[in-house]
Amino acid sequence: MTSQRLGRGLCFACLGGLLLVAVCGVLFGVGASAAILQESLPSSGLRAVSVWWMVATRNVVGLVSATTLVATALGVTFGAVSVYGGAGAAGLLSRLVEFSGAVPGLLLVGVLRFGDPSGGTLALFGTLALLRTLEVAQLVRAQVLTTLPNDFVEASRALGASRRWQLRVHVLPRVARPLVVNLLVGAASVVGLEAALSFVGLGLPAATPSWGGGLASLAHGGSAVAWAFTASSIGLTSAALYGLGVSLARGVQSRTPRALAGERAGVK
Amino acid sequence: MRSVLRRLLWLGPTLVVITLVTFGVLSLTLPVDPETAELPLFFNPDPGKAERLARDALRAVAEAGEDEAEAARTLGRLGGAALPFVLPALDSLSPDGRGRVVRALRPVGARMGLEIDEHWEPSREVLFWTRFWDEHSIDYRPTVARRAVLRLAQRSTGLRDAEVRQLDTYALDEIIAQMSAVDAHTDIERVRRLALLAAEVTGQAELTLAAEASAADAEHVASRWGDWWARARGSYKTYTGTERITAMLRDTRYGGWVAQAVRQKLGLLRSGRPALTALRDGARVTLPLLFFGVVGAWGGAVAGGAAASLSARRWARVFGAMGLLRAALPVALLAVMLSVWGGPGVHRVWVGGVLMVLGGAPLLSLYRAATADATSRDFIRTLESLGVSRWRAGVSTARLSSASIVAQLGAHMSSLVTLTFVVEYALGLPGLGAITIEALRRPDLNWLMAITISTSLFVGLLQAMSELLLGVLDPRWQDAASAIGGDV
Repeated sequence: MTSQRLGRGLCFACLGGLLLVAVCGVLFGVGASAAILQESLPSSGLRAVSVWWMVATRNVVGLVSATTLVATALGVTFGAVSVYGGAGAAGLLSRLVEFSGAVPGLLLVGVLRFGDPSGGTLALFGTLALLRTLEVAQLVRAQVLTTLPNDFVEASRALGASRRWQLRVHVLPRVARPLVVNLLVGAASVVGLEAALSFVGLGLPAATPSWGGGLASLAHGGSAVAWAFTASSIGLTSAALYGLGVSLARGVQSRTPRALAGERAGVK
Repeated sequence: MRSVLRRLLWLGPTLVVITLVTFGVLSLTLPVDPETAELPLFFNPDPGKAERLARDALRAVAEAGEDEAEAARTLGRLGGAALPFVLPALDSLSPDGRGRVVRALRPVGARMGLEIDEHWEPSREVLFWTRFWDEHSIDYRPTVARRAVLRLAQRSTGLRDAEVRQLDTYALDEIIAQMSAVDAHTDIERVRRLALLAAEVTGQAELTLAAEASAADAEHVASRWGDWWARARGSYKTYTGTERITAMLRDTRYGGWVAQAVRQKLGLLRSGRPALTALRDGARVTLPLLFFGVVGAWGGAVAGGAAASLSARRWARVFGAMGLLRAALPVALLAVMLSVWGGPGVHRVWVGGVLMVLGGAPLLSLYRAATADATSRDFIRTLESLGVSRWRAGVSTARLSSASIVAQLGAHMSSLVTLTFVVEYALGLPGLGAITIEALRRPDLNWLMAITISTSLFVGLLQAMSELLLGVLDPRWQDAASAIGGDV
């Protein structure tokens, strides 16, 4: 338990530090000439790399946060509608999931880029938000469908509870925690996907500093400092988000009624 | 089995919808090709406008309006295709109007090899064209044109050449149709003869065949004529009946792409290579890597899950650490780090390894969850209580748990394909990834369509295969599929 707390603390520290860097990026990176910073990254000194890092962190944190927020809002709404909205909404969700399964994300973002007036930012945001929305919607639908047939929900209905009360008391608490876990693990995958797409030139525009763009600049060599900043930002952020998600997931498992009953009976 | 067949049957319509959506999105977002800009995207409500163009030009020339010069050029360009609508209408025009029309037809007459003297009076020229139509109107029929072009394609003589020349643009449809199918060296002469004739009639001088051309050159020229005709056909033809209904779909930008894809192996890339050839060459690198990645990920997940079920506590820590390590090394970072070591041969091993690790991790989580579920099943506990060996019970558990990751195989393929493309690009391997990323940076519609079709087909077939495998591993899935109408 102590090691789990320590791990969770480390994850929070990592993410807190990252937010601090992003705030610094907002404060100090406004006037920085972004394109020159990223292009000259391999030969830049510590000061220039630090400024680039702050601006890139600000951009990536902004993208990941915006994607997660939009995907949560749309995914929860879509997932709930697919449960309560009848067969049509559920069928639409299935077809969309099938479509996203048939077309690789790389192709989707690349095709959307052609019509993107922002040079790639909107296409990347749209693709990531679409993929995450579908995942969140599937999760919400599955959780709600698992919760609704339970005896205690039936009992509350028999006692005259309204649908809104059931949702607030029984469904929402059971959806919230898995959803937070999914959002954290999903945010880690968004960080990885942003890095991969920007690395191949299909992510954020070349003039916008990002970790993936930095990785592309450094692919054929560069200063150790720049490498350390880029690689550690991508790796530590992904690991911290994933670690926090897994740690919360363990918390969810250990609090299930069966596990609690087992604990009471002395079974580990 | 029924759900697999259903999925396979649905694959065709699904592919058509995917090509329609992709083509629509690409056409709306990519810069418009000036050669096809006039064509509608998917549906042409007014195909075959030769008659309308000819009658409008005739009226404009006869009335000597502001656009007379442009209308005269249109008549000259339409040539033989306009004659069935222009010559019978000469009598209805005023004498001056008739004179202006026959003057506009002089370039057509010259192309057709007719002996018209520039110094003739307009009335004599009108008389010449009227007599010409009286004698030759019967030749301006599709069957006659087909026979004349076929005879010229078989063997060239002065008479046969003159016969086709006299039909001018009216025979273009047949001339271009007879150019296709270049199988042997003997076909080169036929293509050269017909390409030269078509070039003289239409003014497309760059679409001729040089004297020392090879069979591949002949095939290339024939296919370029096919492309040109797909775009220009509507201006030289007038459709009726079922042909008009077909043309409503065919004489569009999408119809042009379909025709080109069928004729030229999924269309030509910017480099001039057929997309199918590039797809085949790239697949030789990408498919083995993908196969290695899928099988490796699946095998790793099964082996890892089995080990975890034998010693849950110890292996849980190992898997926890592995999951964290995988999360800390996203694909781009891992690929750049690996690109430092080894040449192309070693890089292929790296790609396989990366796919196995990154693709296998989510499967492993699934497998662990499925194993935990399977071991708690009553029949497994019954087997153990009846004295069945742990190994035998483990095999039954592994079979059931494998079913859950096989069910996810199709859904994971699109992310595995993205992973493969990125890693191939980072390590500089000549697979499908490098061409696709290049085509996304410098738009190449034919390649993007080809890769979308092939990826969707590949994922669709894999989904059908995984469903078949699912039925073998856990027959209860089939019952579940039948209960909900076929979709697992």
